[in-house]
Amino acid sequence: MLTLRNYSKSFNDRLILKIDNLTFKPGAYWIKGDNGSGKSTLFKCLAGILPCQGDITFVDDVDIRKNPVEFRKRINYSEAEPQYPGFLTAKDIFKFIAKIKGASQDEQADYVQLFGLTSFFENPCETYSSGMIKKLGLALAFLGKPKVIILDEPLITLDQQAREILFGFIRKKIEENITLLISSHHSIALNDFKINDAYLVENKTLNLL
Amino acid sequence: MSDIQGTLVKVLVKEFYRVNAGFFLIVIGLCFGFMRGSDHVALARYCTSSPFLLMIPFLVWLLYSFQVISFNSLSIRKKENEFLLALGALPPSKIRFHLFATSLRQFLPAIAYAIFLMVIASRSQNLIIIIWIAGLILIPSFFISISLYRKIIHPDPGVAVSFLQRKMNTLFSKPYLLFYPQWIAGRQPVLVIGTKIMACLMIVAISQLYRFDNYDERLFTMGCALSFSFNLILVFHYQRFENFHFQVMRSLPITPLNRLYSFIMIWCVLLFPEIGTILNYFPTNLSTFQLIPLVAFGLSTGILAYGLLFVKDITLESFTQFVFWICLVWIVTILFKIPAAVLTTIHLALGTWSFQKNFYRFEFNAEIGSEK
Repeated sequence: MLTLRNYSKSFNDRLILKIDNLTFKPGAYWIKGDNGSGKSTLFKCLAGILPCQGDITFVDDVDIRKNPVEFRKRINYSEAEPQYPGFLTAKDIFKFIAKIKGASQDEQADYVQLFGLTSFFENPCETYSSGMIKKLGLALAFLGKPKVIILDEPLITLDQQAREILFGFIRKKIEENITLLISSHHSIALNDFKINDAYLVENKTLNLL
Repeated sequence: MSDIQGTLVKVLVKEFYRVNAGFFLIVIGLCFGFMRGSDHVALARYCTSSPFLLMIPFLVWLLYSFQVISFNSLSIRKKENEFLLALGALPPSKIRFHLFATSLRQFLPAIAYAIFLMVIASRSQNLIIIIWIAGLILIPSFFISISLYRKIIHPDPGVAVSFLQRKMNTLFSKPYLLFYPQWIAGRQPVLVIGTKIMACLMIVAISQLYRFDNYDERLFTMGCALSFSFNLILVFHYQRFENFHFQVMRSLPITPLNRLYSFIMIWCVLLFPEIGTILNYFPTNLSTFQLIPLVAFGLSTGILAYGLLFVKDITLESFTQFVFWICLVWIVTILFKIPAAVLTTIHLALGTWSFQKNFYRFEFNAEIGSEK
């Protein structure tokens, strides 16, 4: 369970988003909002990429500021448009992150195979299409033992087969009591996976739909 | 000036001089601070005394042109500059004209020096040399415009992976230690090679002074301090790599100490040529016990710069100014016989403290538009 208290994010004194109190329980949450509303900024703050004001804590008091390393162990994040240095292969990035996240060899092999990375796994990222880069970013977001998985626009550039595989993983993680925060401009059907709640980012805050 | 020329000047010419302002400041400082007018004339006379000796300025012009080419190719690859590819719709002769004019503008400092050389050559009425200079100065300008033309006509030539690279990728996965060195070498090869050559030459040049006179260790320490300061630009780009280009690093559960340890290892790899040169050219009349503090001092300069870079996002110009002032501080403190070990301790303490305090708070500030 992840709780935000008095969360706010500003860039140069310009408020982007403010959330007084919000708790994400295990399950999937759909975060909607217009372009530039602050969804990706919220996700980057939760992932620890950007600093923010306020408290972000897990139920056992693991806090983003007081326990930054433990907090980062529990959160995995997939960017909307992931970018990796072009000379690195998916294998280089995968092995590096898997080691830090404590993912076993078997787990790594499963994700590589199921996300369809095998055919380009050992090629440099500069040779990838945007769909391939997206699959790599998504596979990395499932590595290790996260308690929260953040997927920013996971459906863009994915083909239908890859979407089905992704929905399968999301359903599995919901069963494992993992919290998933998903932003998407594409509609998510009821049979894709079960959604706890949907939120709309508007007027610089997050409102329950 | 046409609209197209105006746009090219804004995006490629002004930006080139802005990004390299620190470099030009250093060159101006070296040329007008240490050399008198008569020295410049003597050097120009020497260079214009034969076509063979003209190769000295020509080599410098070539290096400068590589820097321009590297800047242009990085600029065109940036998303915000993709609109420049629309130039490809113009007739080829017009594209070539616009790009050649742009390359001449980017090459102005070299052209100004070429004119100075021509004036010196004309005093000795050496027409052949004047023609040589005119020819030689045009060659790098053509290189720049041809490279720009190719980038605009063939923006995405595709990436070919060699058999050897494929084999290496199959057999090994790269350790993190090599991520940044390979990234910076591929992205800014001229910067890396130029920095290494300048830094090693500085150490060699200072060590040669010990052959002619009996100096104490301070002169060599000052030379090494300058040499290490050249490398701080690589620390600036490392911070950009780690926190912007490979920003997934920020979300990974790595302790600050481990992050710092990774940086120190990478910094050691980057300083390998300088450390090797120090070991090779260490003056024989100095005690070898001074070697370890000197190398430690070099490593600590990077840690200080790295730690302070997290205080707030700064532009490359501000960073260059910081390096200039810190160099002055080093020179003064070394002159006053403050041991390198003391400076090292201060660097380590300040750099580590700043990094630990600011790493998680750091973010790039879009408004200052610092170089990524």
